[in-house]
Amino acid sequence: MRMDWIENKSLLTLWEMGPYHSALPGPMRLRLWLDGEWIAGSEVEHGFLHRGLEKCLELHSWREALAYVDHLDPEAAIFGELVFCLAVEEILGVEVPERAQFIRMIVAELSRISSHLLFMVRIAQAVGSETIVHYLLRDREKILDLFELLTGARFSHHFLRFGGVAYDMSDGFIERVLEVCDLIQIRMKEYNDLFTYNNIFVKRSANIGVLTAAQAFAAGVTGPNARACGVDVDLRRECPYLRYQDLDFNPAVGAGEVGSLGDVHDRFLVRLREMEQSIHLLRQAVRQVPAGAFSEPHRGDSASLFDFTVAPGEAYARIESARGLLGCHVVSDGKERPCRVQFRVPTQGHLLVLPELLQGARIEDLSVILASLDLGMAEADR
Amino acid sequence: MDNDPLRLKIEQAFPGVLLEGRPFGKSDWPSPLWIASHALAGVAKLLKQDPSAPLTFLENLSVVELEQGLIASYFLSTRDFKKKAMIRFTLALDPLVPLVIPSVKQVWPMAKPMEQEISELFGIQFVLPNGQKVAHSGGLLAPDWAGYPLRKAYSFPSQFQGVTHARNGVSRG
Repeated sequence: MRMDWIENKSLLTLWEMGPYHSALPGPMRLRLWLDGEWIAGSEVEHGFLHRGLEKCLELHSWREALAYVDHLDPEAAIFGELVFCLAVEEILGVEVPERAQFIRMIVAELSRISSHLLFMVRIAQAVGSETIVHYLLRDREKILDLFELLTGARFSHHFLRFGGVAYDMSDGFIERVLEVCDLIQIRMKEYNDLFTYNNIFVKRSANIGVLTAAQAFAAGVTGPNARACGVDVDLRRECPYLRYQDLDFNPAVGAGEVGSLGDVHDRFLVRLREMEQSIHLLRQAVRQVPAGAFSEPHRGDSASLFDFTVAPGEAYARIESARGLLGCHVVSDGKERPCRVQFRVPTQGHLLVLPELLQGARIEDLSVILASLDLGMAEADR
Repeated sequence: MDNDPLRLKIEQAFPGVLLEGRPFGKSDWPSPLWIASHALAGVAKLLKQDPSAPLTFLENLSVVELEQGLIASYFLSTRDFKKKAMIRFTLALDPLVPLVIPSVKQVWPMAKPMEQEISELFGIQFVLPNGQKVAHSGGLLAPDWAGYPLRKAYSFPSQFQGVTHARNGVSRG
């Protein structure tokens, strides 16, 4: 199977999937060269969701841009806002109040759980477990309720501001967060029963789509996908931002417990354990939220969106988003709009490694492998 | 700054390649290694093979257009993120000279999609060490899209494939 498939293309069947297909994580085209039931080779084409986001940010004021960066990854919108704010704040030299940093961290960890629940939805659909999908979405709704309570929006929160957040936490918010933490913690047993130790799921995920650490290094794979193949690196620990250095935290790392190291099951298990870690982080964070301002004064109260400029300079911020390393390079020329906003997105590396994972796989495993990489086509195409 | 071991190594291996340049913002990123663009592939290989802390991870590749031209920034780190470095160079915008820079995808394979994006959105051509141009296919823009959207002089098309676009909201300033 690992022969040079390019030379034998004429003997193989070409199967094109996409750009729109229910088994795909978003608009993309997969060209598969099939040798019977086996995938001999593949090509990935994306860009169908290109919205010119980076150009768009250059055409709007700094504050308007904040609303657009939400759209970088609609499934976990806060990460786009956060990395952009961190970069702009670095140029501004703004000291973000501690309370605001904790609120940001709480929203980020809730987003991570929400994103991982969606990952589980996709992987459940890929293995044909439709019932579990409803359980997962039911739990995710609780997190969206929290977003609505805090930010006023279930998606596209537009919640962060340069120097803080838009609103303070309302009375009872912390209690609601703790309730959701308790609920998800209880559900972990359910998820373990339905996935981790479920014989059908193990058969569909163990030893399938094995990604080695060397392949991950070469393609620039980061985040849970890299950790699933044993790479013990997490930006929240390696280069802490916000207040992660104040919290006790150990990233989940794959160990090939059921199948091989770096297989689909490991990618699932790492995310499941990351949800537990996020709950652990949330419980610590809500206990430590200090009193005080939730936004740096004199920056959030201007009436005009254009009455705000950033001194000439540049910065590069990076965070651990739900999918991996998310970077943002911001350049200001001192005018009322950004000169350049460029994102480094984790899905780019995951797409690069996809053909390697598919080579030699069976067609029946295609959708499981695709789902296990947690591809965010919106952020890849921008 | 001149005592930076990385700079000394580059200066030793490629004399005259390091240029004077601005520091990078206020962040904890070390001062960028401003180089002549033609030396990129050699410097990249040197940094990746540096035995003390191999910069094996091309984290990001960003291009920005400023008054002096296009500035390319290569954000590098070790896999554990303990050590960082940045390579930068300027490309003059001269309509008579094609924008060509060496490809580093043979040094850092993760550069491939990054170079493809920059090629499409800025109109920069990447070339391999053997002089062969890197061909890109199936990228962000339609194959018959005209112009390079992230250039400052880019003007939005009033129509594309027979569809007329009214873009009143983006003509400010």
